Amino acid sequence: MRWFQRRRPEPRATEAATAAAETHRSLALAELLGELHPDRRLHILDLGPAVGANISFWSDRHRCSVQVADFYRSLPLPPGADPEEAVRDALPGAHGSVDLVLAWDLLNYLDRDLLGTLAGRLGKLCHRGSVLFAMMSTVPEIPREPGSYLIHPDGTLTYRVDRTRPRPGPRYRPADLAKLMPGFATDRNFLLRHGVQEYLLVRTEDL
Amino acid sequence: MWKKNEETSPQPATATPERTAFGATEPRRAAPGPAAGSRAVLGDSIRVQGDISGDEDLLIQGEVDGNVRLESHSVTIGRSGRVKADIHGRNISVEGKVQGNLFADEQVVVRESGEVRGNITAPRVSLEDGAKFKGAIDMEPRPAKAAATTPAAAGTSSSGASSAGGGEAAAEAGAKGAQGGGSASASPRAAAGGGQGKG
Repeated sequence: MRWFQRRRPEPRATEAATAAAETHRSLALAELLGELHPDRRLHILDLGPAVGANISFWSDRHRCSVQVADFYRSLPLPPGADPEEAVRDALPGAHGSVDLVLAWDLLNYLDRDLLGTLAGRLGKLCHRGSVLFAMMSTVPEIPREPGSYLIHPDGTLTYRVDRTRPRPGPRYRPADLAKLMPGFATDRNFLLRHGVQEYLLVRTEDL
Repeated sequence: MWKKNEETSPQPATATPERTAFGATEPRRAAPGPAAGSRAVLGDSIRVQGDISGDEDLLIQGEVDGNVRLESHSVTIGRSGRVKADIHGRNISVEGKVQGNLFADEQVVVRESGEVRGNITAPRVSLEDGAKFKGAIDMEPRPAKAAATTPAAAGTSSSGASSAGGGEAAAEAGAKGAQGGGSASASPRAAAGGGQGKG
C-alpha cells in the first residue's frame, strides 16, 4: 500500500546562508514529512553520513528505523570488484525492506555506470511505493564532496558543504534519471533558487 | 593493565572506589543509577581474544576481539579502545572503534571520536557531531533481558569472568599476562584463543 500521497505544493523556499553552514527550506522534505503515516513505522535507508540529529528526528519523532549507509565512504569500489556485488555489500538489506531512501546530493557524485548500479540495488531494496529523496545540482560546479544535511523539526535543512574547492557536476536532468534509474519515476520535483533541484522519486514496479 | 582511568567523559560527581593496576582503590566519578559501583578498566596495552562478561561497569581502552556482555552495567569504549564483536550493556558509550552490534537496555552514545560499524539496538541512541557510524539503528524497546537467556550467554556466564569477582580476576589475569608477555584469558574461549598483552 502506498504510504504517501500527492499534496498541494508548499510556499516558495526561503534561504539564509551562514559562513559555516547554509540553511534552506526543503520543499520536497516538507512534502514528505507532511505525508508520513503516523501509525506506520518506516524503514529508512540514509545513503549519507550519520548525523545524530537526523537519527533522533526519524527515530524519536517518527518512530522510524534508520539504516545509515554512508555510501560515499564506500567509494571508490575495490579494484577488480564486481560493481553489483560491491554495491550490494555496501548496502545490505532484505529485498523490499526499505520504505524511504534519503540520497541527499549523493547522485551528483556518481558516474552513469555507478548510478545505474546503485539504482539497481535500490530497486531491489525498495518496494512498490517506496520513495527516494534526492537533491540534484543544476549548476555547472558542485562542492568537492557530498555534504551532510541536518533536518530541523520544521523541515528546513542545514547544509554542511565545503564550497572552497568545487568540481564539475554532472547536471543530471529528469530524462537522465528516468533512463539511469529504471523502476523509479519522478513523482515531484522542486527547483530551489540556489540551483538545487529536489526530487521525490517513487518506485513504480513490483519486485 | 588495570589502571587509573585517564580518558573518560565527564560524569556525575558521586565518588566510588575504582580498582587500579594492582588492586588498590581510588575515588572516581561513578555512572548514575542503581547499579553504580566500581568500574573495571581494561588498559590500552591489553588485548583480549574472547568473551567478557561480569557484574560491574567496564571501561575498555585496549583491544577486545570477543563479545562483551554486561547487560546490567555501563560499557565505555575509550578513545584508544577497539572492540571487534557485539556489546551488550545497560548504557554503552563509544569513544573508540567498534566493529559489531551494540545492544543497550537504556542508551547508546557514540561520541565525536567514536566509530561504529554495526547495528545499534537501544531505546535511545545519540550520535555526536563527528561520530562515524555505518549500520542500522533500531530504537524500539527490546524485550527485557531476552538476550541474557540465550545459550551463548549462559555458556559465557559459566566462565571465570562471569561474576564480579571473576571479572576482576580475569581482567587482572590479563594485566599480569601483559606484564609478563604471556597470555591473558578472560573466558574459556580466550584461553583457547590465546589472548596476549602487547604492551
